[in-house]
Amino acid sequence: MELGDSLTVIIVIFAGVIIMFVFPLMALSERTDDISELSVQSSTTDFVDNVRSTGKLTLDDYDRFWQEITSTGNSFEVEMEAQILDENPGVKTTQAEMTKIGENVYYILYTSQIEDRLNNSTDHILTFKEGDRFSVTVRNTNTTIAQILRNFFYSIAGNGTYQIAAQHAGIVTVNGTK
Amino acid sequence: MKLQHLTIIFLIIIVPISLVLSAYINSQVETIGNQTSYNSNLINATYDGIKAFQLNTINNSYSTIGNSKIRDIEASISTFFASLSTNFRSKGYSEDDMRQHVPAILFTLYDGYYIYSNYYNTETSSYNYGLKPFMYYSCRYVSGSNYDFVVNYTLDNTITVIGIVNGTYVTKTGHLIYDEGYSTDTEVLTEDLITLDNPGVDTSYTKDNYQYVIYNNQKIYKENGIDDSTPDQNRYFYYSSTYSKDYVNDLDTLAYLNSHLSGGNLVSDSAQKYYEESKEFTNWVTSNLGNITQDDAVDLEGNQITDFVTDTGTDRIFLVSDTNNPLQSNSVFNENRLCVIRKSIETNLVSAITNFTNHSIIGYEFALPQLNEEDWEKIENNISMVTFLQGLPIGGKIYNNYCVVSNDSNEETVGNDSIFIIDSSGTYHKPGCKTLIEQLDNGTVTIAGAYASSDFNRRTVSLTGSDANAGAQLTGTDSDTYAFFYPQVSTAYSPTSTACYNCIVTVADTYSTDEIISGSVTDSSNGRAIDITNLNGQNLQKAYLTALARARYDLYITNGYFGYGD
Repeated sequence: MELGDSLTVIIVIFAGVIIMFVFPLMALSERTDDISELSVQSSTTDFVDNVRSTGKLTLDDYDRFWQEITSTGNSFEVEMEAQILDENPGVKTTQAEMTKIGENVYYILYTSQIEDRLNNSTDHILTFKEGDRFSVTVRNTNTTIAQILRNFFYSIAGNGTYQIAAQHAGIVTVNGTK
Repeated sequence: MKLQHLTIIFLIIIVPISLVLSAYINSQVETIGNQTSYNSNLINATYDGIKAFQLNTINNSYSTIGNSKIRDIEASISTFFASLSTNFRSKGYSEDDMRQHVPAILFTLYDGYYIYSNYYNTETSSYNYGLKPFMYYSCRYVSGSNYDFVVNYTLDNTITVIGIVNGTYVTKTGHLIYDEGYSTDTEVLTEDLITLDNPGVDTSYTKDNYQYVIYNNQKIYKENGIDDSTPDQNRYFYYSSTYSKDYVNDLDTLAYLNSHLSGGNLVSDSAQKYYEESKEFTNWVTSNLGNITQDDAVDLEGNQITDFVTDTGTDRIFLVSDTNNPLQSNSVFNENRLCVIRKSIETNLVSAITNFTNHSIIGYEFALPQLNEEDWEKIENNISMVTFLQGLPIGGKIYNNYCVVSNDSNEETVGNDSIFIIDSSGTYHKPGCKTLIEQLDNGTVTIAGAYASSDFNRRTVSLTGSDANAGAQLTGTDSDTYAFFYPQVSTAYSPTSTACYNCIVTVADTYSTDEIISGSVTDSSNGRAIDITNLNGQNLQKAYLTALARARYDLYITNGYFGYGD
């Protein structure tokens, strides 16, 4: 066997391995991530819509939401944001006019504050009022197989390095009660 | 066979599979994306609808009158379709298209409900889309030959009994309560009001705080600064539709009002009357209907109804006792109330939606989806709007969903959670506010009053005489045309009263209203039981129950003419 033939065989073997194993594996792992994202998006929407329509955030619901998203086999970072409407007509502020809707002041509670209140509240239930806004953003923190394979060929730097992400938000439609 | 050949064969098999799988998953992602966006649109549109109802009823002094109520509901439904079609326009659907996909809208009110769907109009001999006749939450009970009557339930403990009871035809309305020995006093009620000085002439107005009572379902205010020498005709006034003072001239009404003057103050005895009349009514119900059970419930044809969602069998529904306290959610009365409301709504919705299918042009089999228990709980305890959106193609599936949005801050009903307590510093709280209880306990503040939460919402006054509706409430920022006031965010406090930042404004952790009703709350941090009937001399339970009783007594009840208080 000549040297040229050996080289061709080696290159073909490499190309064959990549085509026969790596590409299908990449395609399959990308689809797995898509399915995970589908599931996470669906759970996030249900979780946020439940808060919006009941005006209540319970520790049970929050735990269930965590269970649902982590059952995809990934680890996640969940960012919650509650925008609390302060339409107190008696409190004068410089940037708001009390007779106008749309210029009321919102103040914001973030994930750690919400979790803290949820854990320390009496029945582990927090109530929102009509007009508040609630939003949740979920991103994976682990590196999925698709990401590992992709990084083998090219790597992405910066903020957009997550593979599975979901986001949902909306206005709370009812005053929550215990 | 060479490796290259194997590779090509492998690719021929794998590539199409991979492409099909990828396309399928992409379509699923798109479908779920559409579904999420349609869900959001439906929730938002329904919320807009019920918000319009809330704003319209609060700003409409006649919102409780039948025709006016229908107008408010139609406006609310119109808002729903406007909002829905705005959101769906980018998908290529017009408002008319959307109407073809909304088989029914359910609007539940205090003592009954409306269904908005298509119905046969006998005048035009065609099917029109509109409000069907009002339906009560009613159930017929037959026991022997001496008992054949209908009970109209409501969202709370109020019922109307119509029919033959103990061999006699009766019509009675009242509140069922278990007498736990609550006592209430008369009270002085005040609220802010804007009145036009010269309606139709100029736009000058006066904002002041007035005492009021509710008599014959109408709010009557006492003029400020009057004394014994003031003629009767200048003492009291109604708030007219032109936002001016309409002085009371009727002699009977004046006699009633003068008899309620005490030390120069106009006193309300609504809460007292609520308990007195409720006790009397409850005694009548207990002695006459005490043996009625769920097994006596029959349908229109007189056949026993056996498919209630909860079977309470031979438990006696109207025999009020400590184990059957109508205010408690697990009482036999309440179980039956919920069963009747649910069965009535389900039956009529199924029929409305089936009827819609028969006359639909889009060829989709509309059906009532299975509503979950949490949604039923909202429907059975609050004013709510339930919308259905079905038959829209979303990628690989057909969209079929419903949305329930309830509202507890309106003029229709006063729920257990719809009472706010005002303290002596002018801050108003939820009854279960931890800060309020702590401050009352250490004597920092006292209780200054308690009112329905809808009284803390903004009212709009049109200075030019045009209609001040929800639109004006939202967009009317022109100070020459509209003025605004909050009845209970009062100028009586300096500088003005504010919502508590620990319960109303913020994400709250409060004691439940059930605990407030029971008279004792438990501090979770140290397990200490706090007696709220004596917080440094202040009785929070009494303040709450008095306000609840008064608000419910003063509520306009459609069935009231059937003998309310008899």
